[in-house]
Amino acid sequence: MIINSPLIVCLRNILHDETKLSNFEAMDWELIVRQARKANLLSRTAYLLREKKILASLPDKARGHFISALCVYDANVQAYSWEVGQINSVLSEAGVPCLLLKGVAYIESNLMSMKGRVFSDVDIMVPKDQLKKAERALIKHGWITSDLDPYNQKYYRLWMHEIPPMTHLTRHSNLDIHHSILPPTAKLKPDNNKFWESSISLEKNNLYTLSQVDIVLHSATHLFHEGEFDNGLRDLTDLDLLLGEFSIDQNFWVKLLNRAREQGLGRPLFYAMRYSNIFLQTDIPANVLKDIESEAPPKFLVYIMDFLFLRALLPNHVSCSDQWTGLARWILYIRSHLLRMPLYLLIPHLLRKSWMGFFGKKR
Amino acid sequence: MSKISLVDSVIFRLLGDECVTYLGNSGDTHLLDSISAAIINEVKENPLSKDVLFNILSESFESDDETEINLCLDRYILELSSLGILNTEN
Amino acid sequence: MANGLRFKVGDVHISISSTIPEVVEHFEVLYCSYELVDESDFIDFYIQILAPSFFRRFIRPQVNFSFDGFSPFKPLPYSQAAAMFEWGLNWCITTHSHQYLMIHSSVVEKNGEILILPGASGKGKSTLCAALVCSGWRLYSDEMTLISIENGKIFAVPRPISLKNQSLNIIQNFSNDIIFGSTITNTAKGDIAFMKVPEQSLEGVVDDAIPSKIIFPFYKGQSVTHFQTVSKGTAFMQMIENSFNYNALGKTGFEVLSKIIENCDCFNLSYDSLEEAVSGINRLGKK
Repeated sequence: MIINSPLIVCLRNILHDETKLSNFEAMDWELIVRQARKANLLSRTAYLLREKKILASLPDKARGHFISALCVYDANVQAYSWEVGQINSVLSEAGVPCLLLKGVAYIESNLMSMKGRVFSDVDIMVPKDQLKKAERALIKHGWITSDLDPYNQKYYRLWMHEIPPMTHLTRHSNLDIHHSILPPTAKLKPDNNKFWESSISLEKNNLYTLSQVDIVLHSATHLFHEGEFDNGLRDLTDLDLLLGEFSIDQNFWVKLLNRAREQGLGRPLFYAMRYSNIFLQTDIPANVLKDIESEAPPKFLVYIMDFLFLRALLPNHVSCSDQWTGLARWILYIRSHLLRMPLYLLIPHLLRKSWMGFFGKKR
Repeated sequence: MSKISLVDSVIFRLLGDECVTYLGNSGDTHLLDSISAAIINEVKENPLSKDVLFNILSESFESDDETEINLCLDRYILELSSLGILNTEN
Repeated sequence: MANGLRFKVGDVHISISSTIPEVVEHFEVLYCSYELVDESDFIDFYIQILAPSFFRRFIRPQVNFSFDGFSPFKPLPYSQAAAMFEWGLNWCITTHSHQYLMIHSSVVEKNGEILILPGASGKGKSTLCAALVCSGWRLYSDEMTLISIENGKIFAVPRPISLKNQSLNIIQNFSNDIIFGSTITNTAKGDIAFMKVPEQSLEGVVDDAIPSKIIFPFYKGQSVTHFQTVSKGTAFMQMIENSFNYNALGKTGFEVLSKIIENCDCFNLSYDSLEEAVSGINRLGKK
């Protein structure tokens, strides 16, 4: 089955000591490099191979590509640590708290999910009523809003959970500012205030992250609301590392399940646990897996989701595709839009996007 | 008496009379002249006071005038600390 | 080539798939002496050069570059297919090879000494490189110096030398033994042709060759050929400006570059006559 592709086997080994890598030959490593590159996992795989002291003994060519990816990771960490400092000093001055999300949060909190994690944007959340103040302060210090099309401005500001992406004029770094975890138009409606109430203050002034359970729920919700899965497997490895680290606290699972139910995010958590277990053999206690089944959809829908996700979460590489992969990705793309916006908003939005695309204008 | 020292994350190479430095925090690289190179070379192991630096380096300056040399040395130290290369702690 | 021709350039293993006649011809003329790679050997870069869609084979024909299923560029006119392979491969190497410090430069070798000629496009480095290669120097690359961050060695990736516009005529007049691929017209860089690499450059490289000179060439019409010594510090900063990935490599980049510069004599070279430039370089002498 495709799920036993060399990259998946490799990840299981370096995350959980599941299988031996010594049987891999040059061609297996070549496929691992190619699949990992496509899945944005080359740096993470390299990091974990080095940590397990396997990197030095790999065939030269494979090792060369992994070393290259580690250089990219190191440069990424340095650049974005600097960037977070710059953003926070602006927001701090403006009196706006800065809550870090995703990749930057992992790095600033020194979580295990920072290992080999490469990203191209800084994602932050600010309180909704301070959004304008934050945006003004950033503009004063050299950030600009990248998309100026009036329709897209409206799309973001009225319907979405983030303002249009910002870019720094001279550093060309990208910044996504969210005011909530999900769009206001989305079907699921977690209480955003609760995320703020439980947030953790980092040692550096004015910087926050979500609590441990909320980091997991955010990652799960984000992944299973996605329309494009170029980072799907990468996000699954994030979840694996997060769950592995946080569950050292034996009360973690209970807290996670309770929080998921409290915030109405049980369904994405069900999918997160199911697929990280299937793909990566993430260590989730049997009773927890049983418990979360109460959040599952009807059995027939689980079969359909398996059909879709067991394809879409694989690397988007020719060696991991079968005749149904294209269809599976397309269906999930439509699904993500339906999750984000009701039909009466979605249909005109998609029509407009197609119209603009047909005439070659920017989306 | 304040002491002058090399910032922790700075590495440097002497190339002839000149010196190139790499700053670990910002990722910047600088090319520095012979006087800067001499200052960095002297403080790399241990912090030194300005007076000690003056005594070691005064012959490297073109001028004989002590006041001028002091002023010049001050300017170098200011420049190098504003670049993030030197610490001037109290 | 439709199913993937597997070959090596220096230590880089490439698989190229294309059904476009111009690409096939480019390989038959310019890559015929390169070693093939076994089915069981590691391939670094899987490349496809294809028409982007059915319609685009016939209506304003275009060609697309794909790296293992990813297309980093917009399609180009069909006539530029061969050039697109070369430019695309440059992109593959410079984007995915950070196990090397990479300098935008030509690099040649003779008698165990490596000479690096940094410079952006248009300064004359490829023309000078071609002339040196025609005068007994081994080609390492006309486009980039690859310095291993693990051991400081320079890796050769000798590929056909890209020559533009007047340089084409100049090199054709310089030597009679050169083979060129077809001239590709109307590219963003003007008219281009690729010069075949002499077989001597493809034979085993000298394992302990080290860089001994860095020369920054400036073609300047109606001037006297002139070498001017450049301080190592100045050369260091100019190498950074010509580097693809010095900033990304951070402290490692600094240390690797330091070791290279410490062992090199550095010069600016302004020249009008290629012959004089080449003989001047030959006369600079062994270190």
